[in-house]
Amino acid sequence: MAALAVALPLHLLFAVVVSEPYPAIMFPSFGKSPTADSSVAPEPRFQVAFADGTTAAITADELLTDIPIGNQSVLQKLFPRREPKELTGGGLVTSIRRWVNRHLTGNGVFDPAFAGWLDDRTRELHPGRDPVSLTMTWVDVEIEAGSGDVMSETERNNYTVELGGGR
Amino acid sequence: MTTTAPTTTSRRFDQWLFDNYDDVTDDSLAVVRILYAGVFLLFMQPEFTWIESFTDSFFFPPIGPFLVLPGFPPGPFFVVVEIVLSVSLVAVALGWRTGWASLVTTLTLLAGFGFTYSFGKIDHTIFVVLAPTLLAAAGWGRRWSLDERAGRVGPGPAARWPLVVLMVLLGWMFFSSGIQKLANGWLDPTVQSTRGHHLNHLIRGDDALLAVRVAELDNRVLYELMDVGTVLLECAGLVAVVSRRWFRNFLATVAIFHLSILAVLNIPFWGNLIPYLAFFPVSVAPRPGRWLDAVMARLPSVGGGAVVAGVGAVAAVVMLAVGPPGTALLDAIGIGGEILVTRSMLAAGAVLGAWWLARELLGWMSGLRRRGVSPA
Repeated sequence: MAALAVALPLHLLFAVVVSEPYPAIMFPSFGKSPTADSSVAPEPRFQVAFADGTTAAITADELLTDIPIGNQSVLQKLFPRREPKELTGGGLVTSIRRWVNRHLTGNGVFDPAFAGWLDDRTRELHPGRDPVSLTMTWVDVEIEAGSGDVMSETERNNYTVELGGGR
Repeated sequence: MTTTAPTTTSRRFDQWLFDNYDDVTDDSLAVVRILYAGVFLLFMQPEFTWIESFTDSFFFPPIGPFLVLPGFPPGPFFVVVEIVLSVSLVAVALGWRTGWASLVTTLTLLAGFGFTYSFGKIDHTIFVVLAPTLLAAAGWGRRWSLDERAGRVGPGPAARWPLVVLMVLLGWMFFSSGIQKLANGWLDPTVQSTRGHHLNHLIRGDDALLAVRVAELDNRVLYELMDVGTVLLECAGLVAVVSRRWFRNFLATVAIFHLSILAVLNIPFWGNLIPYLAFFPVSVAPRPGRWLDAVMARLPSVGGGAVVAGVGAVAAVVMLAVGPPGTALLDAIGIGGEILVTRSMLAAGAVLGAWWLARELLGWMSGLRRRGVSPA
């Protein structure tokens, strides 16, 4: 019990200040909602371009159909929605955070293996077609709290991945 | 030589640790064991073989043991994980080498979920993962088990302190969630965080059950009360561990809370419900008890391993072929199996929670009456 009394607060502190470890004895936090009158939700949108000049929209659920955890979080890793914060300074916590950022952030969209996977996946979703590129755009959708109506849509980062068209 | 008498505080601590759940019987824990393994095997056993269709570009392990790995293991690894999990769950259900089987279940789930969460999101299933090992230590394999048939169960009641450890871990988990919300500003009266999360879920298409109706309620006071209520309830988890009565009332409230989360946010937080039962004195009616006795009497007192291997092999083949068979069957006849099972379990949990709280309230009121105090 004494060990738990020390270990539990320490690993929660680590999770809050640096990054949540796994395994960890904790439940999810859920952040504060940004405004009182509306809510902004990031929405990933995909468009695949084919060799014949046509395009088609595909959803994140179609693309990542097999992944049973929230696909938005997965997509945030692969196609970062925001530029990573520049961590400056030499304190211990900043150094740990910098190390974590370096080691927990992959090549994502710039990884050739990922482009290959996207190419295979778009061909599965559109059999017989010849995809040449996939564009992913993060759109911030603002919803009015009272009515639930869409108040605005703002495009954020977008990424284009060249696929193996004509292979 | 002189001995020092234990202080009142240390005696109270020992009572809290060792005698806290002395009303939870071996029968009661055995029911939880059979339900846990049975529901997993039939309906909810997690699948991991899907991971093999993704490249290492998706490998973003959280800080922890998975960080040292260069990427996902090859596909056959996940087939082995699913086979081991099926066999260990069968062993837990039948109570064969229950301690080891429960530990293997914990380790297998820990590994499978670890690779699942290495896609970039941690779902908080750790209580379901740890429960088998701690409940086995608390004696969930002592009744209606092959271990009992084979005489591998020692005399006398099992130590229940692992149940207290599990209680502290669970209370802490809720507290960790509440205290983070508190730090994140959930009590800021100018912002209704529940409202924000609700709308985010609606945008993503989670519009089932009461989600749309609740969205139409444009009442800031109500939403602020939800924010405050959520933070208070979750933080209360750590306070509730002081007494088993408080903790049971806390869990009964949480069971209702889980149903409300499902109804509004469409988050089916079902997995903890069966392990919650371990903290309650579940009484088994004579007839089902006799039926379980009769079933166990038909199983061999020696060679239980062969029974587990045979049933486990069938369970593993079915799991690899169609997934959890109960869910597959419900899906095949056009009923969404997973949705039906999770919603039914959450509804049953909330009904049981409400029943428990009503029983406590009535007991409290009749206690006041006996002492001649008006509850009003």
